[in-house]
Amino acid sequence: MTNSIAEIEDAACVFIIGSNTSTSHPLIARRVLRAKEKGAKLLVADPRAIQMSHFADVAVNQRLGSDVALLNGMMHLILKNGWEDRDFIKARTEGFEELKETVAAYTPQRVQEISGVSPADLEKMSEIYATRRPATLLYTMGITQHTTGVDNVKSVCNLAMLTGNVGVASSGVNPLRGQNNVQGACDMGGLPNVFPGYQQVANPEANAKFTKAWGRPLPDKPGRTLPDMITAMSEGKLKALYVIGENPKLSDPDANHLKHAFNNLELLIVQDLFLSETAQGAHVVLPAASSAEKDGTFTNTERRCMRLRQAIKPLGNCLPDWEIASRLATAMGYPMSYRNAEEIFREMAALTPSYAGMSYERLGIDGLHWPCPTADHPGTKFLHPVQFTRGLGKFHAVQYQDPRELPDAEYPYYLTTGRMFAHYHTGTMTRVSPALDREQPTGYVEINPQDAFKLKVREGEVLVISSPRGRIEAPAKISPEMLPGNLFLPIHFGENPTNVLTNSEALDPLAKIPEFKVSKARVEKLVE
Amino acid sequence: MKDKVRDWLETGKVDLFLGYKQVDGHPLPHAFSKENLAELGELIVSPARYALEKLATEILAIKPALKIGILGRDCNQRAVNVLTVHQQISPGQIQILEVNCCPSPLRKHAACSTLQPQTYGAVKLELGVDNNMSVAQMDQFDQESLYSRWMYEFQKCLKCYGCRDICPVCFCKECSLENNDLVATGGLPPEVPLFHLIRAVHMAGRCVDCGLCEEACPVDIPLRLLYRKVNGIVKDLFGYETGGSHEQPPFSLLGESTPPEAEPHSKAV
Amino acid sequence: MTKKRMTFLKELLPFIGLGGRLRLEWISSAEAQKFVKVVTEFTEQIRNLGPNPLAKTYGDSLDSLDLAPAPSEATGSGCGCGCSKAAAGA
Repeated sequence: MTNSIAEIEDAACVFIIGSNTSTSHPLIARRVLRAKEKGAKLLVADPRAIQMSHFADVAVNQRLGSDVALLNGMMHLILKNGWEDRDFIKARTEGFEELKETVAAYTPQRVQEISGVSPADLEKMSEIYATRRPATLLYTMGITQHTTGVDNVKSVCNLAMLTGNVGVASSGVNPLRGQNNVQGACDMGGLPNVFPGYQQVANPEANAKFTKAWGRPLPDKPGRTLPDMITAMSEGKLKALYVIGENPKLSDPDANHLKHAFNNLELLIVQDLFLSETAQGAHVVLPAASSAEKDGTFTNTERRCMRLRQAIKPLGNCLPDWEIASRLATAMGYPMSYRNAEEIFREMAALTPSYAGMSYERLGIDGLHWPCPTADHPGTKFLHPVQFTRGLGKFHAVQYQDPRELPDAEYPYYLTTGRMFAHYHTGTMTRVSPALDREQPTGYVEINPQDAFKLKVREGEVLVISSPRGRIEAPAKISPEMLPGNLFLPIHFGENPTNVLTNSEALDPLAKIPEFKVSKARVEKLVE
Repeated sequence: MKDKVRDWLETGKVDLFLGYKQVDGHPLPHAFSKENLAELGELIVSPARYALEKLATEILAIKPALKIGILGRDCNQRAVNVLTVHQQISPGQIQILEVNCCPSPLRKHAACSTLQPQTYGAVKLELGVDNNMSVAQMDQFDQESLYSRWMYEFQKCLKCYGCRDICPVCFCKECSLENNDLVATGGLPPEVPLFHLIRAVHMAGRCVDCGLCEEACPVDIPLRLLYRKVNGIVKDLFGYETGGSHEQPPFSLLGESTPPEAEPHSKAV
Repeated sequence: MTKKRMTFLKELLPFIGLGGRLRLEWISSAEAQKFVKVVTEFTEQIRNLGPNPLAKTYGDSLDSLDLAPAPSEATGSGCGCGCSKAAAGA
């Protein structure tokens, strides 16, 4: 997020696109509702009629995967009506002419043909977003999990820059992170191409710095992305896999294909709290301590690094992740002798410029927002006030492309996937909770009432959903939130493994993120 | 204050004392004991409030022989009375060291400082129910307006159960709000207005007007106002002042599928 | 007890704008005429109140749900405030 969470309350316009905020980020939804109650206008663009849509001043249901067209259409109208921020464009950006040329072709009529959003709604949205400042833009996986994921993000940024809605309090581009510490994991180099603090492995200077700090030569070429690893596993080029706190057998696309890849492995090590679907097939399972059993830090979606404090000693024979890693490294010939998590944090802060000013003492209970470069720096609530990381902000002119799969005669439905409010990811942690299990005990498929009527299916009756990859069964949940011709499957349930249906070959060419949000599918009533 | 707690712990008047401790600028609930008397230096009195009697009741359910002292205001005392009436604790198990309802010595039992009127947005005033509103002010609205205002508020609900979980007098083992036959599960918002109406009905003869539910609510639903109406009805119809005494409420069975005798940690009073 | 609860509810429902939709009567199986009278009166009273406001709030969703063979429990039928259940049980 370029802003911090509390700033959302003071925005004059909140634009939510591709985020079921109340379900997946309830504490951000509360800020949005407060902003609304203080007088902000709320715009919601989502293929489903979600809870936040009820509170929106304008709520639209764009067709799955049509976000670039919708956003280009908004920019088209903003330019046509002269609502853009000329000073900002001139002072802070480059590439504006190309953008202008590209969006000129996205007339409201064309946008309606692609996305189904009416010209009147499009006009209202564009005007509100461009003229009610500060405007904040929130998005999540509904924007990123597409073959055009990077294009979608670029379009979102284009829109914000075009209207000068970046670098001010309560105004910015805010991807809401899906996990408590995914920001922290990325910050610490949990990506194939960077060291902690986004220092490139291929940058000789950065490489030399970490080689010196860690006393071993380090690779200077980026490693494999997750989809590349799966391919390498299927081809027998990758023989061992060490999975920490992830459950790819449920979370990765095309589960059947994935199963073959996993069967090729000579060694699978899984480190997790519970015996997840992936752990069940592992050669070695390393029991990890839960958050209540260890010290450390989390860095959340607003770049706030906060301390985690041990409440109880680890149960049974489990250990904190850092201790497992230390012992394993030591056993493999690289002695690690950290005494506690704080020692690791100190090393981390020393090597990561954006964390350099942080210490356990300074973090206290409230934590600090990075960048926090020095010991007297108060932390940073919002980013890019004067300039962007690269200097000028670049407009990337983006053309709309269809999703990889569109419904056809054989598979006439759009299928999309996501979360429901009572469970988390593949359910490794939430499905063992009796209270959450009562709330939602099984998987389901959400279907529009008219479609359900056509299929003569009642609430709770089992439907068979199939795609070119495979088939699964799930009870029907008849929901007016769904548009006709659309299906929604939650991703949490191992007995209705949604990702049997999704496509592992439809990837964003740059980010390699799979297109979880759009697949074609067929649905029929289960015949016993 | 600290001397008194020390005295209580040393003489064995209580085995455990629940109060607040300042940690990194935040007042947090903390249990003080005879073993850690040195910690008493960190005991603080502040506007911060928590349902300490709820924590005490949960501890007592596991260790009934303990005597627990808590730092409390008038609302804590009322909650202890209700918990006693509903046989969740026995008289004397919880001792309250009374502090003023706000940290000024001049304003004994004044309205809690944390509950002084906050400003809410203009749109909330127009569409919803202002949290500062009184029951009498609400009566000025017509049925249609009341209806749309309350439904607006209920539709914001994120089903976090914060209102129930913080509530000092929510002690049922099985909660009707989790019963799929009464309130459909699996969706947001939880069934409007059933979820909140069921909770409101269950507050009759129980709610001590501490306002913690409303403070806990992430989306500012004016729950305290709703339950004030509930208590107002109980008082008007049955002359019962909730939390004021150890007298049984007019419908002690209301909202319960089982009579109190069958409750899990019931004790003879 | 029922009477106490119903008296209480009758006071509470108008507070959230659902007044006039709850009634409690004791009718024996021998009192067919009284049954007819109460039901007719109450139906008339409800009709005069106009359409169920909950249906208005969820208008679109309820309309589309009507197409479905089995309306989901989540949106329910009737006014959904529990009063239909109470009236039926009375």
